[in-house]
Amino acid sequence: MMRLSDATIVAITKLRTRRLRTLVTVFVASILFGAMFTAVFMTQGIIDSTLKFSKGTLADRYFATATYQNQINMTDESLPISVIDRAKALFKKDITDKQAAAKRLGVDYDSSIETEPTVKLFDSEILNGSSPYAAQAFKEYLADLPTPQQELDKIVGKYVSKNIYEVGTTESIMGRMKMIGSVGENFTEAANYPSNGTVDVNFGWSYMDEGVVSSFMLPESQLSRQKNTEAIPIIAPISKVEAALGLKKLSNNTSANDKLERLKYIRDNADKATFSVCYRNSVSSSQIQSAIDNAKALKNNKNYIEPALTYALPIDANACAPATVKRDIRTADEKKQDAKQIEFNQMFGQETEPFQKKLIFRVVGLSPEGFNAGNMSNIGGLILNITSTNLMSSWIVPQKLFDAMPNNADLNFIKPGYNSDKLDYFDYSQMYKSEIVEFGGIDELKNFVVKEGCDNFYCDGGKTIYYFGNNSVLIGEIKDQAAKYLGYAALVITVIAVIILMSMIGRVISDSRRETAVFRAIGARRSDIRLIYFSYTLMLSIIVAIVSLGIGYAAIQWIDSIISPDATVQSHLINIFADDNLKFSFVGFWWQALASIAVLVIVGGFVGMILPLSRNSVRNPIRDMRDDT
Amino acid sequence: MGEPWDIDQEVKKFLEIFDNDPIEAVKAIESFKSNQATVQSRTKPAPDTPVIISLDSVKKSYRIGRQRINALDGVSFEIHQGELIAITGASGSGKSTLLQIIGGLDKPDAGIIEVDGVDISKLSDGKISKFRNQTIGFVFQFFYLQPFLRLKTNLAVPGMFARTKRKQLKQDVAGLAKSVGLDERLNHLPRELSGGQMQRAAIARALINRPKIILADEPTGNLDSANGEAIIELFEKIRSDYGTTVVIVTHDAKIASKADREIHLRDGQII
Ligand SMILES: Nc1ncnc2c1ncn2[C@@H]1O[C@H](COP(=O)(O)OP(=O)(O)OP(=O)(O)O)[C@@H](O)[C@H]1O
Ligand SMILES: [Mg+2]
Repeated sequence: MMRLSDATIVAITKLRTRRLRTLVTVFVASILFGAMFTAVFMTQGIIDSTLKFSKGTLADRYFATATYQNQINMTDESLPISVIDRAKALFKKDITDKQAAAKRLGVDYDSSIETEPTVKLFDSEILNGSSPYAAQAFKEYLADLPTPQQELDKIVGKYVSKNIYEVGTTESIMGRMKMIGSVGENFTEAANYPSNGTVDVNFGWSYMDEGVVSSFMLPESQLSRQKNTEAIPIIAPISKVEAALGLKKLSNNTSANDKLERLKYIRDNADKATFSVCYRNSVSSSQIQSAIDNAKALKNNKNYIEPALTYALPIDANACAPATVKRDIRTADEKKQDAKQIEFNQMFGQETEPFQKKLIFRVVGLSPEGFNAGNMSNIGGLILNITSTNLMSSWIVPQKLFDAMPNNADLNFIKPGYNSDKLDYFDYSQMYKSEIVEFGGIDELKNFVVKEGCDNFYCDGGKTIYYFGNNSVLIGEIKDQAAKYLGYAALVITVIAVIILMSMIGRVISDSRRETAVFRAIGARRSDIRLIYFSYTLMLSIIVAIVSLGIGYAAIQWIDSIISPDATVQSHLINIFADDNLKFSFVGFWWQALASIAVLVIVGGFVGMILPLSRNSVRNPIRDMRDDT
Repeated sequence: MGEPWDIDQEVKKFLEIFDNDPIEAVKAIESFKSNQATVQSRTKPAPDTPVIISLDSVKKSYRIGRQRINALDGVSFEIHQGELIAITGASGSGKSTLLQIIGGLDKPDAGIIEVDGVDISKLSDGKISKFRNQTIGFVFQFFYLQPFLRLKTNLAVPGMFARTKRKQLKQDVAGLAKSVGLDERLNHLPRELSGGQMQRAAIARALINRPKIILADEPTGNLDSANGEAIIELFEKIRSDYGTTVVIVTHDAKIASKADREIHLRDGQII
C-alpha cells in the first residue's frame, strides 16, 4: 500500500474539485456539529460560573436533608378500635364535666356545640379529623409508637456525620399575625396568602442554625451596628428588604449595571431594615373583628341595636394594641354572668384574655428570591436549583442569635411546638421531623443519599432524603442529563451529517472514476484507492470538526455577550454575598464532550465513506476509462 | 491467419460506417489505406532478444444486451524485448482491448498470454497491480494527468504506488523530466502545458518505475502531426536508451511505418 502522506497529497486534489459543493457540505455539517459544540460550551460555562458564584456558600459544603413522616393518619381506618373508643370516652367525659361545671356555675351550656369524635365512613367508624377528642386520642396512640425523631436517629445514626442541625418552623403558632405596614395594621382585610411572589414574614419562618445559614448573613461589622437587640433577627428575602428600605422596585429594563448597584446598596444597608408584625391571640382578634362588625352594622342597618358591650378599633394602628371598649352598659347581673362564663371557659382550657404583641424583626441576612422547590426533573429546574443554594424557606431566624435575645423568654409563643399539648389542637409537627445532616465530604454525602434516598425523590416508608445546598452532586446530575440529551442530539445530528457527507463523498468518488481507472492502470491497488479516499474523508471531517468548533465557539461567544449581563445580575441576586466582580460566563470547556464530538465528526465521515467506497471497489476500471472519452 | 481479404465486405462496412458517422468513416479510410500499406506486417526481422510478450489464441468477447461482440477472436503473436510495435486496425477492430489484455487491465476469455515470462491472467489483484506498476507503462490518448497536481507530483504518482524512496523518486522525476524536455515545467499544472508537453509528461510518468514495456493507446491521436512525430521519436529514443519494448496503437500510417513491425487487426483478428 502507498504511504498515507502520498495518499494525502492525492486526496487534497479532491477537496479542490467541486468546491462549491464541498463548501456547502462543510458549512451545513459544521452548523449541525457547531450547535452541539455550542451546547457543550454552554453546559460547562454554566457549571463553571455556578461554582464560581457559589464559592463559600452552602454549595461548598455537604448537606443532606432528612425528613421522617409518620405513615399513619388520624383518619385512617386501620387505627385500632381502642383509639376510637378512647376518643368517644374523652368526648363523653368532657361533656359530663362541662355539664356539671355549668350547673355548678349556673351558666348555659349546650353540649351539641362539641365536635363529634368520630364520623361514619361507609360501614366503618373513623376519627373525626377536626375533633379535639379525636386529636387527643390519636396523640395518646402515637405516644406509644417511635417518634419521627427516633426514626430519623435510626436512619442517620448509621452514618458518620459532621453535624446535625434541627429545623424549626412556626406552624404551631396559634394566633394570627398581620404586617404592620407604612399605614399600620390593616384590620379589615384578612391576610391572604399571595398567589405569586415572595410571602411576607407574617406567614411564618423557619429556625435554622448559623452553622447552616451563616453564608446568608450580613458581615459582623454590619450586625454590630444594630442597636435594637430585642428585635427578632431574621434573614429576609432581598426584595422585601428593598421595600423595607423604602426603595421602589427597579423596572425590568433597568441596565444590568444599575441592577448590580442596587443590589450592592441593599446589601450595604440591609442592617437598617426592619419588619413589624402584630400577633394577636384568638380573643384579641375576635374583639377586633367584633369592633369592625359593630361599626359596619351601625352604618348599614338603621334598625341595628348595639349589644351592651361593644368594642372599637385601637386608635394607633402601629401599636398592635388591643381593641378598646367602646361602650359597656351591662347590668351588674350581666357582668356577673359574663364573669362566670369566663371562669367556665378558663376551666376547660380556653383563652379568655386578649393577648397581642408587636414583633419587630431586624434584618441580619439576605436570602435569594425565586427558589422553585421540587423541580429536579429537568435541566432548567436543576440549574435553577444549583444556582440558588436553596434554603427551604425565604424567611429564616438564625437560631443562636434568637436564643441570645435578652427578651427571648417573652417569645415562647412563637417557638416551634409551643402549643403541642393543648387539647383542642393537633400539632402535625409531631407527625414529622426534618433535620439537616452535614457530612465531611462528597463521598460520605453521596453514600448516605444513595443508600437512604430513592430515585423518585419521595420514598416509601415516610422518609425523604435528599441533597441540600451542595451543588457538586447536582452538577454531576446536570452533566449526566446534559450528556444524555446531547447524546440524543448527537445521534440525530450524526445521522444527518453522515447522509450529507455520504453524498459528498459519493459525488467525489464518482467524479473521480476515470482518475481511479487511470491510477489502477498505472499500478494502484484497490487498497491504494481506498487509502486515498480514507485520507480524503479524514481531511474533510477534520475540516468539518475545526470549522464546527469555530462556529460553535463563535456562537457561544455571541450568545454569551447577549445573555451574560443578565445572568450575572441573576447570579448576584442569588449569591448575594459573592464577589462583586464575578461575571457569569456561558463559555466553559468540557474537554471530554468537546473531544467526543470531534471524534463523532470523524467517525461520521468514515461511516459516510463506507457505502460509496464499497460500491466503487467493485467497478471495472476499463469501463470507467472508456465512459469518459 | 484470419479471414481472406474480401473487398466487397470492406466497402459494405465502410458505407455502413459512413452513414452513421462521417468522421469515423474518414478514420476508416485512413485505416484502410494504412492496412493497404502494411499488409505485409513484418518490415524488420525479429531481433534475437527473448520474447517478452506472447499471445496464443487469445479471445475476448463483450456482451451488449443479447449481442455478443468478439473484440478479440483468436489472436496469436510474439513480441521480442526491445521491439517497437505498431498495432493498427479499423475502429472497433479490438486494438484497445488487445492492449488492455497485454497490460493486465483485463483478462482474456480464452487463450494464453504471457508477459515477461508470467501468465498474467492468473495473477491476483495485488500481483497484477504490481505488474501494471512495475512492468508496464501506460500512455493514453487523452494523457490523463491529474489536473490539480503539479507536474512533478503527477510524474511521481506510479512511484508513490511503488513506495519508492522519496529521494530516489525526486531524482527520477527530475531525470525523466529532463529527458522529455520538461525540466523547466515541473512546478506547473497540466492545464498550463501544451498537448505535446502533456503527452511527454504522461510518457515520463509511464517511465518512472523503469517498466520493461510501454503500452500506448493512440498516443498521438490528440496531437498535430509535428507533435505526433516528436512523440514517436521520443519512443524510439526510449527504446534505444533503455531497451524498453514499445507497443503503440495507432491510426496513423506514418507512425506505423516507423515501427519495426505492424500488427494489423480486423474484427478481432490479425491479418
Ligand atoms: N467494455 C466493453 N463493453 C462492451 N463492448 C466493448 C467493450 N470494450 C470494447 N468493446 C467492443 O469491442 C470491440 C473492440 O473494441 P476496442 O476498443 O478494442 O476497439 P479499438 O480497435 O480500440 O477501436 P478504436 O480505434 O475506435 O479505439 C468494439 O466493437 C467495442 O464496441
Ligand atoms: Mg481504441
